[in-house]
Amino acid sequence: MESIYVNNVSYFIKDKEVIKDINFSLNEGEILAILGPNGVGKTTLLKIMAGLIKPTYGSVLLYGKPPEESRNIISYLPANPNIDPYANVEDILLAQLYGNDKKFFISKDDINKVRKWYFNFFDKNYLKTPFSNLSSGEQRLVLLSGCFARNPKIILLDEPVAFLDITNQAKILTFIKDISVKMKITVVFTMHEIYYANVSNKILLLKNGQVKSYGDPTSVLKKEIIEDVYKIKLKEVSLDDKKMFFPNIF
Amino acid sequence: MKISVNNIISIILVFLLPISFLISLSTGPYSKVGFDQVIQAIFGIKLQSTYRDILNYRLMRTLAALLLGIGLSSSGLTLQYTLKNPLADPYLLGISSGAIFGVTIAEYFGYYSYYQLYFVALVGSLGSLGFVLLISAIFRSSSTTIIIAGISLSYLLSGLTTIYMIKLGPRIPSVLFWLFGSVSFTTLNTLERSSVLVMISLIIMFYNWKAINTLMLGEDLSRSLGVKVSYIRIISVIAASLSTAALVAMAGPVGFIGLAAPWMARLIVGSNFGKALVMSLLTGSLLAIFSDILARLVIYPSEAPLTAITSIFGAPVLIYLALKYRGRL
Repeated sequence: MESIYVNNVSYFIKDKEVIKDINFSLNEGEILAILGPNGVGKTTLLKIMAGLIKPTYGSVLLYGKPPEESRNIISYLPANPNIDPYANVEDILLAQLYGNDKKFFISKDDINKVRKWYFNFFDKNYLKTPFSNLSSGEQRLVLLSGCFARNPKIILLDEPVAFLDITNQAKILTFIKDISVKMKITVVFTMHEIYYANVSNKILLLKNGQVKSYGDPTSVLKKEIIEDVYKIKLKEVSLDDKKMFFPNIF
Repeated sequence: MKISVNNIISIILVFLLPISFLISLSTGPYSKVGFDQVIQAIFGIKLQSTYRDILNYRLMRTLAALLLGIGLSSSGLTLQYTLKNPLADPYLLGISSGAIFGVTIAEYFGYYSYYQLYFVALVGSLGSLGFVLLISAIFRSSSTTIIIAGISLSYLLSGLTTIYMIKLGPRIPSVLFWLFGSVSFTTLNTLERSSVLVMISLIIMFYNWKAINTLMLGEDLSRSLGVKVSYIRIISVIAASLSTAALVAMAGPVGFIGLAAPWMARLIVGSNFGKALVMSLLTGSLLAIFSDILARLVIYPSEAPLTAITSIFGAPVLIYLALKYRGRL
């Protein structure tokens, strides 16, 4: 079943094109990694999919509906959300449930749900700790558990593993793979770690706001393509059947 | 249910409210009317009419202080959330400057009764609000734009007010009275009118509490959850300002409650907007009522302006709380 359909999406600020003619579609439970250099339009594309900005041309359909009508099935995590530093972790997680909880008051169910997801990622109890007292990696994990607690069909993550150590990166990526298979959740994320993009089923590689390459990881992650997009000479290393690329700095 | 220190504090505060009422009714000049008379009145024992009048007056100003506490603290809290500024208070957007400017100008051009000035002040406050909304609507309503518009307007009006005040010459005291802020000149008429506006604004705040609550997540995240952030921001600013305007018109610009009471509430119950809103009603009204009691006592038998008391006694409390909970700030 088709979960995300991006049809000819372009976005212009004044006359400057940010992204242009993006087309792809995903099936339920698929993972898409959006790769590309800084400022190439990854975040813009994600925001359009989340319904935060309207594309200048083209359209996005999530299970056949525009994003504005699909709030309850999406979880979106910006790269740098402007979170109130004084708010404690539990208050933040409960706030993230908005729209998913139809009751006027906070219910016991909401609290249990939020705590269950929190303890999926944390051993220690920081529920009453102010957000600003956590490390940036822990902050990321808190917001991610809030995304999952919404029980979404589609998850849009802007740099989900930024600031995380390798343990937590592995935890998040394994988790994403898990839920996409088990719970049929479609996941779209942007990322700078090219190797990690191998967890996805599809990769969308952007260059100057346009699609440079789209397909499964083995077809997209090729040395000459990556070198062309990032404009840098790379060394290639193979690990199992996956490829890793390193810049020539040593 | 686990009983935490904060739950105990909350329970104590709930019990303090009726106690504050009793003290407030028993305090003031005319020491013949004290605690005994209050108890007699509560149990329906007939008092002589002068005593009754005194009690009625004290009851009215206690209710005025209650309304002031409720309105200012809820407005302050709402603005702190919607403008994403922990130091926002109800006067940040120039509401009080509009009222004072209106009153000063009115006094300059003629003599008015308190009841007439009430409407002048209301019009002045709402004028300021209208200006701020207009600016933010024209230049897209980011919270910083709204704050800058409000603060600038505030300075502009204060400047003009000072000039007209000097022109007032010997009649300055009639306006100074307004500048200080006090519930001593409140009448039943203005109390009733203001309470309607405060109630309307509270209904708006409570009705939208969950949407306002998501603003702690930042604009992008909040919008992705389906919150119409610009709409919520504007309607919250209107609600908070409506309430503040009504209170400034009723009692002048009583300071500090709108900043301190929301913070006291947040330190006790956390940052959930709904919980903090309920708690701020309590901390706000207690702060206002006890301050009004002290205002009647510190320079007995004359009376200190309410703002002086809220500031003198509120500031140390806020500093103490901030230091005590500094891990959480």
